[in-house]
Amino acid sequence: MEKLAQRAVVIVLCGLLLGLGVLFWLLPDQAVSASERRRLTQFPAPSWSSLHSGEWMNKLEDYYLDQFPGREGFRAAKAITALAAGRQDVNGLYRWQGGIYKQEYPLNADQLAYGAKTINRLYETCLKDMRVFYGVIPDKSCYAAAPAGQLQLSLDALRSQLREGIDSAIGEIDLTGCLTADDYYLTDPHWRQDRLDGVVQQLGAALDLTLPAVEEYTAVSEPFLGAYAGQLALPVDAEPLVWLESDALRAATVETMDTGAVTGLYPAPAGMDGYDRFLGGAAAVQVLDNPGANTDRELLLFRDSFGSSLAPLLLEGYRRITLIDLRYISTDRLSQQVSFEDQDVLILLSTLVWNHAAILR
Amino acid sequence: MLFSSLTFLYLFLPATGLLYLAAPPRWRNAVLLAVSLWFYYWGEPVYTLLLFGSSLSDYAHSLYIERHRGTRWATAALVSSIVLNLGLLAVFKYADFLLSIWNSLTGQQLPLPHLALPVGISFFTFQTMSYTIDVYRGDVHAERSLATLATYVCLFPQLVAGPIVRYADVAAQLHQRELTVENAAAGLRRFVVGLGKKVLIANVLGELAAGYRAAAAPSVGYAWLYALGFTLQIYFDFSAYSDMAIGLGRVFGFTFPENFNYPYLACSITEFWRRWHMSLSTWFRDYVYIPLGGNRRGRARQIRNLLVVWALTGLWHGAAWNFVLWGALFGLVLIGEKFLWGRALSRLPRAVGWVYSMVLVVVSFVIFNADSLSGAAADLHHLAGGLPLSSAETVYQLRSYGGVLLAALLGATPLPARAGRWLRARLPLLEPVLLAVLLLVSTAFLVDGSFNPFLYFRF
Repeated sequence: MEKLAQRAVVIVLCGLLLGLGVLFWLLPDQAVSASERRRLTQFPAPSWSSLHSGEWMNKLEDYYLDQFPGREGFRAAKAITALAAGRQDVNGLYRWQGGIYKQEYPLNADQLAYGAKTINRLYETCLKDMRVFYGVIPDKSCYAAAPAGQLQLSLDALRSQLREGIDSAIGEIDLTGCLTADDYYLTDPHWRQDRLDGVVQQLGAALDLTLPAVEEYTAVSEPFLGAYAGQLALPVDAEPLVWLESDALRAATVETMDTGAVTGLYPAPAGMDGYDRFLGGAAAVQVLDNPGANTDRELLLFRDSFGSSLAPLLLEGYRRITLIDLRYISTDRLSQQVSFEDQDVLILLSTLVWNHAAILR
Repeated sequence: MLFSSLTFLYLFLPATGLLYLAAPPRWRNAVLLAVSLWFYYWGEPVYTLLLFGSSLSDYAHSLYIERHRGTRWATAALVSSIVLNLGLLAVFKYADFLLSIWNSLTGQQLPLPHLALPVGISFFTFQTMSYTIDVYRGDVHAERSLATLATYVCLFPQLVAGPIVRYADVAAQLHQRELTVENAAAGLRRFVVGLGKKVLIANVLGELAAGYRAAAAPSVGYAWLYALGFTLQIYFDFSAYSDMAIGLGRVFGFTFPENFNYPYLACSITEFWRRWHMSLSTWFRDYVYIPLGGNRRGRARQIRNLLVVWALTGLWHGAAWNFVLWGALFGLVLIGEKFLWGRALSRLPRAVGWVYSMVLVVVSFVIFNADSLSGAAADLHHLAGGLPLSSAETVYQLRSYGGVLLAALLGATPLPARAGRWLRARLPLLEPVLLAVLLLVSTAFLVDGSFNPFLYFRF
């Protein structure tokens, strides 16, 4: 029996090492990882210089990591094992009441200071004498971390530091009381457009707007797996991605200035992110036109991806909304693409962006 | 190349195994040498010639020593070999440290060369020095075949992180060894267990240690959690590498010396160093301590010899003052145990000795892992209460890593090995299944993970 067991050890382990090694080269390479929404490393062509510098070996290791047979299954196995061993998070992600959340911790005081400085510079160069507000969109983990026993930055501390750093002429709109964990997608960091009534009414009050209630729109949906689903690597069910329509919104258009493309507000996503359903996803500058507007008012919305689903709900109070994403266009170049007149101005960024404000240009 | 990398596990290792099996027995050393040089080239393209040059130098020196045995020419050749090996260490490992000392003593501003440290240089230079010294002493014959000697020096399983294998340990196997199912099974088992220790425990505890360095709310509790985590990490990291090296050696028919014997069960520091990195301890004993006179020439000489050995042990681990302090701390404690409190300690209950040893070991590894002397002082200050007692982050990390810490504490005892033997005796066919699961789970952590350093590669 002992000899048999020894043979079994050799056959099983050599079989795995050799089998997976051969399978790696037999299986075709994958171009992208749908779950992680990124391109996967392809075979690096060797050269004498890349061999001699060791660069090729490093790239080959990356290639193995990305193209390993059964990669998704291995990633799931890792997550399951780590959680079973008592880990409270997997790569910063955790599950709570059916949702997937990501820790945002700790508070990056330097980044916040930089963010406040960037906004002040924007105000001084472009927005002086305009009606300007800013707000913090709470990360959904702000509502889940405490009951889930997870680490999370203090939203109060973040807002307090921003209040101290941002020019007092820019008023803050507090959104923290308008949201709960249920107002966000289970598998994605973003908020749900159909749950933004409190946010819309709060913004409307600050901007002197009368905006339709969310119930007045028609909800349309499609299945959606958010960004966190792929990152966590555990099997999760799809959930409905809901967008709101009305006659006014159906008539409205969005022009993406980088490409000149003009579409409806909810084009079919071109990429792997279902949330791109809202205004087509990330862009430096976009202009939303509301041809049926009864007002000449315009809004400049400095935003991140959360703004894509919010902007349509503000559109019925404006003739035009210009969306500007400072992650993709520098403050110094703004005046080449945007005219600053007498618009309302709203700077609305999520804690994820404020806490990593170095990405603002 | 790391043992715990996908390219090693699923490219290098299967390819090497197939080449080795396909080669006729007389070509197997050549196969091992070729793949070992490729293994080293993979991680250190520039320094592969240095490794081969070191082998060539010691090959020539040892032949010369043997031919002129008993003459002053042999002594001169031995000195030349040692100077060359120590010179390699001085240039590549200690140049910055020595020059910065010189600059601070003289006020000069000599530029520091900042040379990249060739991986494993501390291991292979110590191996080759032991070889030429053994030839000089007549303990072994000089190897006639350059390929065979180079195979010994470059042998990939133990090339970059030990154990420090002496030529005498493997001389016979370099010329004659057998591939057997028993060796292959035992070697693969040891390798996979080592891989699991490295990937599932050491790497995870490494994340805990790295997390402490980036902590937003450190505390005394977090500092001790870090200290315990790093103490277990370094054991599991280094002993895992030794397990993998010994296991791979056995697969190819070599028997490498054991390097660890449950060091965290030690009840004194003297016992700890009989159980920790044994191939290094015995190297210093045989090639430094005893030649200096050991304990044969009076207490004062013995104390001097111990201090020299432990200063060198500290320096071997790194060219920085915190390593010198780390070595000196152990030297002083060992002297204390030998001449002052060792006898009293041995009369106390073993639990007292264990607590005494572990507190010293944990504190020593905090010094070891500091980035400087001032960093070590700050870390010790935190352990001693220079921070709030606890924080939410501390509690979180304890909850998150408590399971792995507990597994590591149990894994540092003979219990898992006993359980393995029990299992093999009663359910022998379950073992391959469990080993396969361990290999696959370790692979899963590698596929998804990015935290995978080997601590002893820097030595």
